[in-house]
Amino acid sequence: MEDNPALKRLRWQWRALTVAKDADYPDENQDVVCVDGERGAAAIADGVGSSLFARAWAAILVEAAVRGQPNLEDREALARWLAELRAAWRRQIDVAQLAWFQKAKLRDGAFSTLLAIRLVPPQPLSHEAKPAWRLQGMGIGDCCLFHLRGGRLLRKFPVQTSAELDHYPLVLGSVDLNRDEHLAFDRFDEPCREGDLVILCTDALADWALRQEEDGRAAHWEEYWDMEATAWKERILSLRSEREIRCDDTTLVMLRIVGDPGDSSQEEGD
Amino acid sequence: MPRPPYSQEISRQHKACFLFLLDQSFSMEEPLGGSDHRKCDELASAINGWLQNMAIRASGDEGIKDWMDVGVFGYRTDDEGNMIIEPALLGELAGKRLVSITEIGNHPARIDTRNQWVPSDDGGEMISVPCEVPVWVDPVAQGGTPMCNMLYLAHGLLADWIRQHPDSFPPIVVHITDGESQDGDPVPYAKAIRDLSTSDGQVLLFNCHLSSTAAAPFMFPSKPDGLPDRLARVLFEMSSALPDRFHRYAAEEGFELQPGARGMAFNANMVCLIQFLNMGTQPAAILR
Repeated sequence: MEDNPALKRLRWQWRALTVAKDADYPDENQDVVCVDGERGAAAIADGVGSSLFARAWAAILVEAAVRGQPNLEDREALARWLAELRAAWRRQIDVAQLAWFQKAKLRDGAFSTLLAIRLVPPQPLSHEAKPAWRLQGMGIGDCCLFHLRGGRLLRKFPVQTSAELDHYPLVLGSVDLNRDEHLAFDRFDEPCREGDLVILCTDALADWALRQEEDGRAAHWEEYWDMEATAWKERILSLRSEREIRCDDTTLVMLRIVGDPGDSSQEEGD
Repeated sequence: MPRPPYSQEISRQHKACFLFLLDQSFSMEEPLGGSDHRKCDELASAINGWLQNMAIRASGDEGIKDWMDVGVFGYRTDDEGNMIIEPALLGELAGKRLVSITEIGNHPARIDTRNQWVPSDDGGEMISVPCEVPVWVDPVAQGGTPMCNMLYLAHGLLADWIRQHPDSFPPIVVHITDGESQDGDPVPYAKAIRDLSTSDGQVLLFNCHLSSTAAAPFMFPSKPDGLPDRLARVLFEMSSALPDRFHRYAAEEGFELQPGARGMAFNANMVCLIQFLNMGTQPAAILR
């Protein structure tokens, strides 16, 4: 097994850090993360703060995407997947307890972006000379991924430049507004290997990282791995006060591809 | 690299401020833009609609987030010609100069029931259904147009607000009138307001003229040439140029703005008024 690294089972070792838009109100953070380190699945979602019960909707999306990504080739299957999740969101809400302004807003539902990734083992009957594990992802909206190897950036997904983050992102809605035909998921599929670092982040941090890169000062993601959650939070608050980063919910997920069995390290800030 | 002006995000720490200045002079009794409805009725309806939408937009799972302060002032004179400049909010908010959007949402003066046309559940046709409509301001039309005094009061109010919120997105003032100032030249008063600033940029003053005729509206002109009369040119001079972010939003809404476009509308009908309110308060629309 050691002779063929591709046959070694890979999983995530991971860490997540987050700071709410209003750091004094962490319960209002609409960014949600779900990681199953052993299964090599992870997802991040950014609930639209102006919509109602967006955090609940984002949580439903990431948990579902980690359980199993929908088949994007099959529109009917995707529609069923969405319908089940929408029903789950609706069941959580006690309409009778809502104020007039919330009832009015409920009609439109909640909105969220979504980015989900998974580690996929080589096909058993692969004819590839060097069968490799693959990193597959799907997303809608502006949550971003950075795939690094030895500190070198291999891929950005789905956003390539900070300018792309100036526009409203595509989002998934918790109510069927007869617009699902406009949903367009981005996808990628590429080889990965043990030791790779995969970064997931919501748009505020992605915008900052992309602008850093565009200014020739690429973000040093590795340094965050061992940083105390409080220190990271202070870093983000400092960037906000200097207006270097958008004042928005800010979430970072660091996923290291590891092959050895053992405890997965996990910690959440805020 | 510091971020450009007018880029401050709206939050509890960096609240926004929207101030509406409403002409309540007698001429507001006239119908708007050739319609059957009085200008004052349409204006009250538009402001109530904006307040309703903002309360809904700022609402979250636990209520309304305290992300913005709102002021609604009316100005007119009484039958003896005495100036009346006062907050226009009614009910529990009566007399308050600036209130949070949380107070707005929690304290409508009353809830009216009106029939509204909405798509049927199957989307096949428009049907009329009774809807509950919160009301904060009522139509008023009386006396003259003490515009300069209104702008002077607004300047003091905003200067105080800015002292308390020095790093917020700068206040946005939306002034809606149907006629000329009757207490002097408003241009210097408007400039004094525009000269106020937070660290994020200068105060934005947008002016909308309501028409009594069905004349063609002018929306967001970039130069005074071609404007129909002196009042239009005065309002142009009073109005702020639209910052870049408004240009992007305008393009998404189908407006073709020229460089230097001002936050101004002339001969506005109801559709233009609503568009103008939405455009002028666009930063509130991206609360997320």
